[in-house]
Amino acid sequence: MTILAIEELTVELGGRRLIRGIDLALEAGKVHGLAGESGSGKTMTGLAVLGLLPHGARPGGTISLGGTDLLALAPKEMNKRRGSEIGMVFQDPSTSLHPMLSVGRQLTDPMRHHLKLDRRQARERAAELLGKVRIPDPEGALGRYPHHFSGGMRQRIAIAIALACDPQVLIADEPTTALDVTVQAGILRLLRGLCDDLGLAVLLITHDLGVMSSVADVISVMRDGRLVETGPRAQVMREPADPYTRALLDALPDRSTP
Amino acid sequence: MTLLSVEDLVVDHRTPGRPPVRAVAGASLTVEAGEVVGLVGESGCGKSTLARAICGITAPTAGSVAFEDRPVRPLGLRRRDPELTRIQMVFQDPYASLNPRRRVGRQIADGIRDDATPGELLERVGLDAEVAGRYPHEFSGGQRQRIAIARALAARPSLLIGDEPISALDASAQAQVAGLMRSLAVESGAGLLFISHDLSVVRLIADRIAVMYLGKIVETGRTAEVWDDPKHPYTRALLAAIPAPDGSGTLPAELPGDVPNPAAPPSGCRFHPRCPSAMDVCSTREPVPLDGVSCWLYDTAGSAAE
Repeated sequence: MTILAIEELTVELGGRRLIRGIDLALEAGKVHGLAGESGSGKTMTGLAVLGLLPHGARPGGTISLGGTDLLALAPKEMNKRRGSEIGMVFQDPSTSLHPMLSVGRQLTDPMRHHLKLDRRQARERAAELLGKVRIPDPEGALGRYPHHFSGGMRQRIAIAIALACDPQVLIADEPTTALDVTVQAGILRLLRGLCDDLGLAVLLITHDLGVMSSVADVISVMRDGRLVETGPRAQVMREPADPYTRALLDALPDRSTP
Repeated sequence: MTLLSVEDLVVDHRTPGRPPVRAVAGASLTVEAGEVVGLVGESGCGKSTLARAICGITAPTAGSVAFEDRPVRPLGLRRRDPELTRIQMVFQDPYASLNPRRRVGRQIADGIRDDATPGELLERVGLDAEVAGRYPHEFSGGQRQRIAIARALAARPSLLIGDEPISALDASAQAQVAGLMRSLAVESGAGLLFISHDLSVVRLIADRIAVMYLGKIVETGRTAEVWDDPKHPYTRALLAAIPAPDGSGTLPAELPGDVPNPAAPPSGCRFHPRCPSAMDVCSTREPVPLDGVSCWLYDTAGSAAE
């Protein structure tokens, strides 16, 4: 079932076309990987879905979520959906979390705003969410601050915040790039599990084809603002149809030794 | 003569009012001339502190660092012994390690030992000689790191240390810069100590790999051997955590738990609380390195003596 459909998306910024017409369909319970070099427009695509494009950017095309075109929405309507129906996890948890607000405050704020929960309900749900992302001692963690946690734990908290209002769509922009490989493995397993259990539609943006190959169900490869290839994981990774995808795969150090 | 030999180095970070944190707890390492040694480990394991102690930026608490059989003294107020300036370092973040208010050519010229010009050095790292008149902000991250490398090469180093020199760069620039450092070091016959948490890059450029965990080096060996047949359970866990780009959809193996607090390290082997093959002896006695591996699994005589 398609949850989020991006059709003919274009983004223009300062007279330059950063995204030149891409189509993506995110399905419930599936991880859709978006790969490509830096500057290919991966992050812009994610930001366009959230309505967080930089000032002066002009999007075109449609992004439909449950029958509504997100690009045509008034800012006030978009604010209602951002954080509630669509969640986002950013690259660096040390900058995406507020250093001076407690974890509990950062988790309960979106729930109180979007779901109109009272303080106690929100706190209960927050503890439950922290348990779900496997933070030890969730009750105690609510009163602590981001600097009390390691990088991997912070990213788990950032994921919990993104999931606070039961979104249908989760945009994860390089969620493991700032982490150690051992921690990355844990976060990838968590993302995969959440996607399967909650039926989330996940858009995973990463340049790491290893990460892509381990969690994505469908892979799209982007270059210069266009999609060069979209297909099931095994096909894209093993028998890429596009020469650019093949070049990306051939550039991997592990490729030479099967 | 060994180019660099580090023996039982201990470095404590002291903060007033807190117990000292032992960032490096007895690490030994050697680098030969013309050899590329990769130092890998999770963040917080003491890799960077070890590098800073080798350069003399941080004073060691115990142990010794010898460069060409002469001790490396910590930096003081006086001018450094010119012989020791042949250890040069490339730092992690080229946005912070270059002075934003000086032209890059002038910054490179600071370290020049012979009659080389900044332009020549820039050409050696793959940039145009004309860019010497520009300021750091006019370059991309990968180019800045090349400039930082050119600055380090100006002093004709016989030991080059890269402290996570690629982690602040874009993925596309990482492999290039790492390869450049290797070829420049090997060409000039210098040794290179390359510190990174990215094993796949280290594997490409290093002759030998040293794996560090919580202030200690747990395994060293030739790159191919460590990669194909990792001995220490920590090395195995590290390698198993790298996702393979094979399209099979296998999730990488997770290493449970976090790196323990170095201010209160576990007793015995420092890895035992997270180790899948921990035995009784592991929690009580610390293993000694045997053939480059510090693990009781391979020291059967030692563990039987318990």
